[in-house]
Amino acid sequence: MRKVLAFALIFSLVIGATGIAFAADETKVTFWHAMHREHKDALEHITAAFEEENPGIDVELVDQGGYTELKQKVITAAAAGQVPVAAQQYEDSTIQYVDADLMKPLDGVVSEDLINDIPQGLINSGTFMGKLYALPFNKSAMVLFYNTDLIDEPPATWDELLEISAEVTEDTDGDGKIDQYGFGLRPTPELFSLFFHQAGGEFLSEDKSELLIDSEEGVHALEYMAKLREHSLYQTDYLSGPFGSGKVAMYIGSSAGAPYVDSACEGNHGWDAAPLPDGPANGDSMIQGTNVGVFTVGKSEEQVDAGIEFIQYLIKDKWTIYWGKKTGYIPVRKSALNSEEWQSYLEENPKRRAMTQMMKEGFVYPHHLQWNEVRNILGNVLERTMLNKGEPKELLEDGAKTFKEKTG
Amino acid sequence: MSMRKIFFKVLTYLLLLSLVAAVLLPFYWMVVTSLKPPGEVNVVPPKWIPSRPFWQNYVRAWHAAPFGRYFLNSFFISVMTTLGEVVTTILAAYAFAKMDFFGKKVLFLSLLGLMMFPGQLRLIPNFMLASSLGWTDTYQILIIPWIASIFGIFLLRQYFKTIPDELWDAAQLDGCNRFRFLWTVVVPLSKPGIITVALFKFVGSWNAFLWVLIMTNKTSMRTIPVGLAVFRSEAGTHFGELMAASTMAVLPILIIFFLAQRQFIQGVARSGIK
Repeated sequence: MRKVLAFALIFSLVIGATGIAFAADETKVTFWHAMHREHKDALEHITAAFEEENPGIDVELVDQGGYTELKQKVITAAAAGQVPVAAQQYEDSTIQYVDADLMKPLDGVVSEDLINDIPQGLINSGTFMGKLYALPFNKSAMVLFYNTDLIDEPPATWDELLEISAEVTEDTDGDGKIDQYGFGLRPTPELFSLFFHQAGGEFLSEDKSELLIDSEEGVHALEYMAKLREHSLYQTDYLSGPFGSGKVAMYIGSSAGAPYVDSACEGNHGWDAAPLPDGPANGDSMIQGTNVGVFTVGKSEEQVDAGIEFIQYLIKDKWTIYWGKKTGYIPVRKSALNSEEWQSYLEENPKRRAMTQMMKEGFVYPHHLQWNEVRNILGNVLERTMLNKGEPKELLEDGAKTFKEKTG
Repeated sequence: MSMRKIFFKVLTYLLLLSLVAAVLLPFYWMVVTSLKPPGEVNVVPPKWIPSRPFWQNYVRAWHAAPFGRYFLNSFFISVMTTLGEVVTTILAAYAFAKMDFFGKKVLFLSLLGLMMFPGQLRLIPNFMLASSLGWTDTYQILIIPWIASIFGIFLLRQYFKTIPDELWDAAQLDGCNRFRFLWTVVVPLSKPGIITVALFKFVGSWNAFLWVLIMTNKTSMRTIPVGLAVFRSEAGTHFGELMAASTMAVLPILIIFFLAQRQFIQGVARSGIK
């Protein structure tokens, strides 16, 4: 009995002994992010420089795991009015935050010079319902990774991509099974969207009430992908692994994957990144990665202002170049991309050249409150086509109909 | 006859061995992958043994996040929640199994009913409660809500019910009160059940991810599963290092399991019910 009581006492003491303390004489900016390792180190470095130049502002960087967890946490915290001052966010998160009236519009607050210096694709990425809510931060663009031991000249057009894929696909040991595929195809909504855009497709009707994927361009893109599939390793996991081991000779993926490609290829074969092959309408790349925006809920004016200062500081020429060098991402300002410093960096790191070019010619998804639903539809249509579950035209019509049903 | 017996014995062992293999294979794969150089992680056909052990994965993984602190937190929180739950569960289960009181059935059924609400549904209200108490970023919030478990109460209640009431009658004759009877008779007789409850809790706490992530912001309050997110990114996963970190994370659980297993068997041997 006494033992039990003593135990209960110790137990409550140990738990009770932990407390919290706050000190607040500076303006505090909490920044929630999902950056790790080299990325986190670089972010901390830039933040330290910011704090040094702005003695009245204290930035607290909070690592919230992955992007999914980060978003979940923002939504949970918003219910209790405890969002951070600023956070990394994908477009489909921003639109939900904007819809819930959590965010600060940046028009008129951020200088025109800065806005004009950011490639249009990236500005579109942060603009919702006609207003700018987020600035680009860690951005990458899709490029074509290829095995330089197998391919001398990367394909420049869709036709060449198909040709080279067919040529390289081989049963190297003669056992009747293919050991080396020309292309690696991961059925993501983004991959379909890329081909759709390059075919000249428009995603949404003007009033955003219809999904226009069942257009001629949509059918063309999907039929092309079905042909490409015949010479492809089809898998739902990241392709840097099979690419590194030599099982796949080419694949289209985010430039942010370059460090993974590099380590997967180590000791196996050489690699390079090329601009995307041109499609019938254009050779644009899809821009990926997150933006940063500022929340207003439960925040003082000073905090909001300091938050805006901070997200602009992150992409000062000096720092967006620094960020690009330290991570797999690409600088997000025209002046930085054209700067002598970045150009001479490209001389030393020619693999980053195509990534830089693609960044300038990038597009992003249109914004729609239920874009997650659209992504599901796109992924579903692509997957069913790849698994021969129907004709591209019918599947696309199905997808457009599903959109109507879900959003109508 | 004996041929048949041998045949069945061989069959049984084969079946058991294949089950063991099925359970051990992921472990084996985890450890082997943790020792592979980056270029060998994804090769096809898969490499069952790395060409050379690449210990660097462990060094890199350890330095990728403050894992020392994470281990300490995970261990502290798991131990505290386990101890706490064992105490509350034993008391509640005993009341439900062996005592009569007003509204017992209704209370028990409503507890069971509460289990039907999924955790995600309670996350936002829980967070609001925690933040209005000022408990976010504290050990309290990571421990106190977890020191009661309906599942544990249910499990132990069923266990306690198997203890014959005659023991209580006899104890009463010797002048024993309820509390003493519980701690000196029921608890020792129920060791396997209690250890099961404790094991479930320990493993659950050790693996808890979402709760810790939502309730904490400070690195100093985070635990291992949150730390493992470091190895994933939008562009890929560092499998070698992730597996190295996972191997390190699983190790304490394995050790505790082996220790508890011995206890578990002792518990069965000692139970003394004829």
